[in-house]
Amino acid sequence: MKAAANTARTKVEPTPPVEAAPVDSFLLLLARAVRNFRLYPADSTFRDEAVAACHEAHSALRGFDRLSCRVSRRELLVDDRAIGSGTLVEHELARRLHRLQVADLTFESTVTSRDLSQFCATVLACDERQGGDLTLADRLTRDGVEAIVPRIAARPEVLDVDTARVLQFDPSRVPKPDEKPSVETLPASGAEAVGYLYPKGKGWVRLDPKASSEALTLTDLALAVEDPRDLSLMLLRLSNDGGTEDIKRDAALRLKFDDLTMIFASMPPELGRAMFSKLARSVLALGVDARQSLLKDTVLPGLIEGRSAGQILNDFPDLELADAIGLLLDLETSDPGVINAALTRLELPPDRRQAMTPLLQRRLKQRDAAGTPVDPGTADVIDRFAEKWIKIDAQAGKNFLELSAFDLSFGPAARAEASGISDTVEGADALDAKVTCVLGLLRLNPTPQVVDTLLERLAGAIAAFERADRWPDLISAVSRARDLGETLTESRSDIAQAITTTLSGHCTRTRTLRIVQLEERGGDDSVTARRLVEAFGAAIALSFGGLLQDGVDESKMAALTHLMRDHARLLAPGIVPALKTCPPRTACVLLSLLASAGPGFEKAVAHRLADEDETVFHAALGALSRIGTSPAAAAVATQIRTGSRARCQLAEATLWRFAPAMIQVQLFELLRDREFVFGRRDIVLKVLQRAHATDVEVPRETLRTLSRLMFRLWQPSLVRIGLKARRMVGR
Amino acid sequence: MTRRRATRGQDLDPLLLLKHLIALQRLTEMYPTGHPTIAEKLREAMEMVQPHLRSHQSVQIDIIHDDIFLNGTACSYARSATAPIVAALADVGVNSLHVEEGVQPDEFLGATECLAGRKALAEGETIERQLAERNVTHISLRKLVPLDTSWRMRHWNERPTGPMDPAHAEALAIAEGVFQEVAAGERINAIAVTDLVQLLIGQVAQSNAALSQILAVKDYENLTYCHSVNVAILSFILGRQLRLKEPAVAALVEAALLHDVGKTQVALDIVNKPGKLTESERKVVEEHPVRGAEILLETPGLQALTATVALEHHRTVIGTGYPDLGRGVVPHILSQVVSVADVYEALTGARSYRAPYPPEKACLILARSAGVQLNTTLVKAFVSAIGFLPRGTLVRTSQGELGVVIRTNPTDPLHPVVAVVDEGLNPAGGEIDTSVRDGSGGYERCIVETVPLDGRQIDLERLAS
Repeated sequence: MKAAANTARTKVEPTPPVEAAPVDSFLLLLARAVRNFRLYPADSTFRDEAVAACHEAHSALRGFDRLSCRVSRRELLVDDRAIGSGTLVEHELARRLHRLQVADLTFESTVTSRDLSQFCATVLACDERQGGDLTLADRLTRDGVEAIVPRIAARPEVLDVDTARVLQFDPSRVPKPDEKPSVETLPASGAEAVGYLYPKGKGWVRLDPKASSEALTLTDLALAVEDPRDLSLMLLRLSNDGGTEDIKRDAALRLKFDDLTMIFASMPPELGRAMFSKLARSVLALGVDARQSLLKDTVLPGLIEGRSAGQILNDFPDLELADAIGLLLDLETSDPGVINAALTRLELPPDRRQAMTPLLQRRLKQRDAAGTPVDPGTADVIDRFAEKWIKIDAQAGKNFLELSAFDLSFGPAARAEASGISDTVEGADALDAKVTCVLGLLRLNPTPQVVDTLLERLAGAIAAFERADRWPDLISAVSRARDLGETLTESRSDIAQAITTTLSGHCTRTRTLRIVQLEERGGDDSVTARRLVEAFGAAIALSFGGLLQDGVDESKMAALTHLMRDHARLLAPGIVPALKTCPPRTACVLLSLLASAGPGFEKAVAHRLADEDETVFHAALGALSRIGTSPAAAAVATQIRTGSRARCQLAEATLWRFAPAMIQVQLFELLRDREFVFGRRDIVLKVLQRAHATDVEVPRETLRTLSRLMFRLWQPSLVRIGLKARRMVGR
Repeated sequence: MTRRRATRGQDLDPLLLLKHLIALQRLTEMYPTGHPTIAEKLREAMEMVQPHLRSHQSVQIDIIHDDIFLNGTACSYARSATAPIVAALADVGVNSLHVEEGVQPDEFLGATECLAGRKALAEGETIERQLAERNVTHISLRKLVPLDTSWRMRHWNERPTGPMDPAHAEALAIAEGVFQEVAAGERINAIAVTDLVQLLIGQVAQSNAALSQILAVKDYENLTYCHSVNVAILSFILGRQLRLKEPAVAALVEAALLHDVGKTQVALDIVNKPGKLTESERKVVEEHPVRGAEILLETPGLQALTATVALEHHRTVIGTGYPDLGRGVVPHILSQVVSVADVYEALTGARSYRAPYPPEKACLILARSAGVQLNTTLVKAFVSAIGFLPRGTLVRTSQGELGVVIRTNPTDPLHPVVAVVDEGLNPAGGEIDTSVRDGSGGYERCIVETVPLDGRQIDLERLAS
């Protein structure tokens, strides 16, 4: 038996079975490579890196000649194990390969980076339907990829229908496609052709072997399926839309409603009416929101426009019909006459139309009560409308009834609005529109190549605003760009970074100096300067740093430092990179700014504690004490522990500017460090003395440990520490 | 002695299961029910399906074009391995076996008995009934028949046929050239575009013949360039109604002309596909505004708003639509103008799955979309610019009066002044202004239909006086 199984299964199995983790990893990296090929241009290193990683993962798959994956809708099956559902593997590989009708995919052990690279590009090209009807297999062969072999198989959708219902009707009685009555009125000039509403060869229907049918048409299928919602689900599966298994029957009904009405309308009238009646029941069974949305979006427009979708309303009970027709009044241009038009289109029998009148009248009154208050004098007008609904019969010839039911008058109010529109068009600002367009495109996940082009346009527009002294527009454009960058920080950090770089690039020395000059002038100009700084944010910080470094005249320097200090928090992220390399004079100013910016920049400030320049060291210590946070205190404590004697003393003095609780934490850490206590005895004694004097509490246990030093009589400095500690314990 | 099951892990070898069933069918013909060999085969079949049923709820084995599919996924077998089994099943007319969770060994036996007796089924008897008689409720045996999804379509010409206004024909030829160049990956020829805009404004839009062709039903399936030229002219008409000045009109016409340039990057079989697009095709099509805007931004010498219009022309006035520029982001007013013209043009053009809509129906759809998709004022301005009911039209009002339009109402084109006439078209009751409204703000009467003259003559001067 076992032998039989092995011979039956000719697929070459990996022997021994491939380890799970490396295969998962390889497929994930392959999916990532496909994604990078989709997102990045041909010369991008992201593509090369992804392919290299993928190839490496493939090489790491030991112990098999080839790796075969079967392709299902949402995952790949390797050695009968499902991989990748809900991950990149599903979205970039399984779904694409499934769409491309790949049944399975084999990777030979000889796969090269080029093969993988070509595979990614070809999968994407096929999926985007570029380059004709060649299959993925054909294209890979054409492109010389022999080590990756897809097997293409028609992927069927097998539709289960109630066989008993199929046997009840004789499909031969249902019109065949070439006999089908037209769905819409077609003028004689259009020649007939046969097209396919759904992919050819995809759908297969399960019937009892006794059934004589050798094929079923869409009309047969519609007759064979009892519930239109089930039929919708089947049609959705046929339409090749990904992820349809997640869609519920009600949602499917809304998505495929137009197709259902098209199929039902093609049936002989009696049969069609029965099907529409069934469809009406399904629509009535929908939840209130779903039903209203379907009515508003599809059914009522269909009714007014004379399409078959409106037919289901004939089977609505009076109350529901009144509710449905009442929705027409929500349309902005609708006139109460629209109800009349709808009733006429429905061709209701006179008695039913009469019965509808009070129901619709009530809805009209409700609408007026909820919206525009009814003038008591006009209440009878509603009644007069109601009378009209039963007066007009169906019209023949070119009918304007429905169109007349909308208020499309271009009266004084509309003309005034139109005049406003023309003013807006005339006054439309081209540059601003360009910025809006560029920012809109940037948020749509473009490839880096496109990003570069778009940012060039953005930079050009901003520069044009600046040349024309259009400061408010410049501020608006820059703010919007910066906001977009912040929005994209997580999803597309590369675009966010590119936006920041573009904004920084705009801030040349000359332009930044102009902003400083605006500040210098004071008044409204100063307000503009400040808004500009707020708009650019960190992007202008480097340029400000450059001005500081290169020097400007005194009055400008004052304006510059004012601007920077007042926007320290905003500028700080941009200052940090400059702080690492700038000369001492600039560093002092920047450190002072970071101190004003507050918490978050301790690390950058602490970095300059290693500066050889004493003024910088002083400035950094000062900045840390002004920041005043625990990390700042820790940085100072580190300096006490590791700095030179002189710097250690300065740091020790600085530590006492922090809040007592922070000092206490640092003291605890310092005093329990035996190496520090023994190495920096003078500092330890000073620390204890200050603690004693300032009532900063040193943990009793630490003091007890230190007090034992009093017995090291051969080391007087330690004895002094021990005695001091003992005194403090006894206090 | 027990044999080990032939499947590995959690999965099922469908070919092996089918072989078991065929073998079982033969065994039932050879041995009595309850024979140990049959019991062993049944147990093996159960052992095969149960692990799969635990994870998948059902085992669906379908044979299509000699390929075996397990739960919709093709299994790879050599034809030589599958051929005998496929033939054996085809012999009894079965190519689909579905097993549901809860299946019992006896049900396999019942199913194979049905297979064995399938050829001898009496008239009117079905396998389904036979299975039910044997209490087989978790196994179904069926045949698969293809679903014929063909549908009657209309094949339309790809461009206008018959005599055309020469300027209109020239404009279409230039536009075709421009769009073909873009489709071939070349840059847009901005000079050709500017010349085309001048031609459209200066000649095509001044030609009654061209205008009537563009406004009326178009019995051709619009390719991108025809559609674009038509939208440009319709936008011009709307721009004129809005009393836009010359530079703004030129900008509008250029933007309208190039609004769909991104479609040159979409495969033609998707653009021209009959019926609804699939999800993936829809995504490709919905990329065209982005592709268009990108192309236009890279083209020097175009109006600044041209790219914006291309990007936004499928956005609605309530800030929905595509591409996703952010919920509530309303398109530029020029984009809204082009949207109205675009929708009207698309509706009055033919599609393989529907006939072109007549203007009044297209306007009806515009009216319905006003305030939701399109700008209401622009829709009103557009409809008023079209003017459906020229002087001399014989109409019937909602109050049942027969009348002849003697004056159009510039502010309300659907509600003209009519002279009431009798069936002989003689004056019969003075003039009626159908734009008069009642106390509730609704019209007192409206035109419900136009009436054919059937050879009767209207003396318009007598009626107007």
